[in-house]
Amino acid sequence: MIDVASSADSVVPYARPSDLPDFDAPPVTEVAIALHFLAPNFRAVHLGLLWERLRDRYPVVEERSPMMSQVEQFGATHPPTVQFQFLDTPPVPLTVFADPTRESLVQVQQDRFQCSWRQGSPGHPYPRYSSLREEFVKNVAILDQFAAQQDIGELLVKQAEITFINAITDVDTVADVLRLTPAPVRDTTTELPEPDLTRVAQRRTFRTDDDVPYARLHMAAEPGLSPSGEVVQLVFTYRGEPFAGRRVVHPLASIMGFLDEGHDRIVRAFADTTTDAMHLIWRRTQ
Amino acid sequence: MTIALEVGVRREHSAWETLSSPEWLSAVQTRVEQVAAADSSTRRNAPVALLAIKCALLLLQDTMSDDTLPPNIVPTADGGLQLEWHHNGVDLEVYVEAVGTVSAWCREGSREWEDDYYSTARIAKELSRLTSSPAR
Repeated sequence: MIDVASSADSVVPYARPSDLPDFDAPPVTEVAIALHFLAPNFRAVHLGLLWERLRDRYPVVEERSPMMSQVEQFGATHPPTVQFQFLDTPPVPLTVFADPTRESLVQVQQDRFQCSWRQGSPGHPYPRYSSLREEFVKNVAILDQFAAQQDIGELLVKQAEITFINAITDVDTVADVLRLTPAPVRDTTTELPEPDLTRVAQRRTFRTDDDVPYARLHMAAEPGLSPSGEVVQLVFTYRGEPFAGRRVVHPLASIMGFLDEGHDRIVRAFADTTTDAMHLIWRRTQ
Repeated sequence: MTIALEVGVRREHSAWETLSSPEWLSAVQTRVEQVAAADSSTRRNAPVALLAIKCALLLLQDTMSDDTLPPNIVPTADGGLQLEWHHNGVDLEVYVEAVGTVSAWCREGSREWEDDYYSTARIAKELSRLTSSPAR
């Protein structure tokens, strides 16, 4: 059990590393922080009861079909190909609880809990990780107390993840955003047109001290559309097992330690992979 | 009391493969049916909890490859399940309690670890060495 009934703030304080790159105007337009867990006793009826505890902050509610949670597969030489479906209860929908502005969401389904922020208008800047983190801790505390009181059982957290979506305007291609090594020019006998779309994807795997893979950092860059027009979308996701390689004293502290580590690695990867010209536009201060 | 649980199995196949199931699947199905149906009045254990069965199956879904050896599945006194593999000098035991909590222990010679939390990466890494295929 996550057990955050006692003072969550004292268990999971956050201190931004002093050497972490920083920007006055980062192009962040969306952030999602999520837990993936096992809770087979979580039923559709629980979603309505949970909303009672969240509706002051999130008065809008919508139900959707459950989404397939992406989970990192580590260790197995061949990816698992069998999926069990328990047919003793109907599928639990994905329920979205939104604030009136729809800038802040909580999404819950049987195996996933996600808190998201999305920029509603250009005048609403990214509220910073520390603020979104605090909101996430509060909502997880509500979920955890609810699960304990409703006999759902312990939420067995399998993986945690944090995603940053950046929408970069006034650029033509990903090459304007990323530090890319240009492909060597070579003679060719064909007359192929230049590519009109280029995507870039990278994946990095992190291991514990005893060489167990436990987390991955994904980066994807591609052209896209946003309300402000054509953009280059740059997405970073850090996902993995929050207890691997850690001495677990308090489960939530381990989870937040993992997410803080993910935020740290995403920010450093963002600074390392983007160009100096972009850093000027985003007003890099450190 | 017999536990009523209907479980569907989805299987992903590429068009290049014949339709088949991993060998461990039928062994697990048979053993889970046995432990679930066992009359608890004839033994000292509590009946196996439905939640423990579900969590054990989800754990296997997350960690087993097609060629992984099936576990020995043993009911525990408190209504949980113990999944055991003893092969190639590796002893791996995964404990699923009646309330669904998972812990694991592994020993291979002088190497030993124990986890009190759900850690599929570590379990999957050990299971990748407990296969019916020749040693890799």
